[in-house]
Amino acid sequence: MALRKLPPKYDNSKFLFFDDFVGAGYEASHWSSATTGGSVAINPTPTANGALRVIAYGTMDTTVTMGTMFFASPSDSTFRASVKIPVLTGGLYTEIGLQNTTNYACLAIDTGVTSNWMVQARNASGNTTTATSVPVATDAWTELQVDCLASSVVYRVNGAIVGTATTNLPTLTLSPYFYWEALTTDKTLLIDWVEVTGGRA
Amino acid sequence: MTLKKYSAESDLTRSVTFFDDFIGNINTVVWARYGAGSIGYPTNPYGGQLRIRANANSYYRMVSDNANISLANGFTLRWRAQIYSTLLSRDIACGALGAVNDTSNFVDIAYDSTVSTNWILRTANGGTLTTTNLGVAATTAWTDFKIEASSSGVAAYINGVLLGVSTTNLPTVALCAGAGSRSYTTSTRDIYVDYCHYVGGRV
Repeated sequence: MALRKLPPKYDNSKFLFFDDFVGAGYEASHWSSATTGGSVAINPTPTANGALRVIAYGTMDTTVTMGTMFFASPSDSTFRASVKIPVLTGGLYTEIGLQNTTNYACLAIDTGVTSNWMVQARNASGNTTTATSVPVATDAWTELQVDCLASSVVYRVNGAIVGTATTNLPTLTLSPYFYWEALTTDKTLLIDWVEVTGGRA
Repeated sequence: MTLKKYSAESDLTRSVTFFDDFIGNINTVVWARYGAGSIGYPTNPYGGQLRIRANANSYYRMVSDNANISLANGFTLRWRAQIYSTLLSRDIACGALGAVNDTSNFVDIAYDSTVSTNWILRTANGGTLTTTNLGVAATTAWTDFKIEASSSGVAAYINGVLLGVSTTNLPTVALCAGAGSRSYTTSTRDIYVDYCHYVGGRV
């Protein structure tokens, strides 16, 4: 397992976390997973570049987090990930972004509501989830980005802003979060890489 | 699928670049630990940190288990660290050691309450030590330590300011990064480390 930790060459005032999921397995000192039915593994096909494959069996869910290792400021951090969702057929619920217990800054999918991306900001006081006008593309690598700023959370899909939240913003220190739930039939998520950057304490 | 390439920042010549932001649990493949104490994880720090705790009247240190830099080839080493809570009765060191448990060959920026209330620069070669008082009082604030080393000397920077140079007792062996905490009392002593970053000519 190669975990790439690259120096913020000219700015050590910022932290940088990056994982390309290259190797035989994900780095257990960083990532942890839980499932009611499913699996998490480095995708064996193709083997060249590496991607994390998350599977949820029908009506089950699988979650990939960094356990209790929270390190991203809720007001000064950026989450980015490249993901591929092979199919939506059969129904899917997912949250992808930054999280800590009741605090979320995620891009979400709920096919029971819409087949478009949704944006979610949530803290202990409430949950703001809003549908965007951007459809979820299937079987295509998609770059997701969540910017947690002082007074808003900005969400991007493939570089374009798709939503902004200003209420129920997270207040706790966060870490990467992938919640993946199949509503009827088995669902697979591929994660090519994850990057989190932001300010230090 | 895309494979990210950082070619603009990468240097694939025979040099070495190392960076650990201490996000998540300690990478025990990289970091060996010695002495009496423990590694811990401060709650919810931005950027990820480790706590290096020395047990009572003990010395505990973590050392990158790969001696791949040297003064002969030159290197720049940075630690961002914090003395936790109190300056009393303790010794901390952020620098590089000759080996994972080498107390005879090293270069570091330190605070030793038995020596001075100021930061000090230490160079040691074969067990002979040179201590240079850097003239700035140690604090419990987050501090950026930087060592620029070559075969002609070692320069010490604190928070970006050059404070002192040592040209004697320069270690001649290959070095690895290291940081440690020592307690001179019946209480534990903690330091937090935020990141370790070095670049240099590969040994």
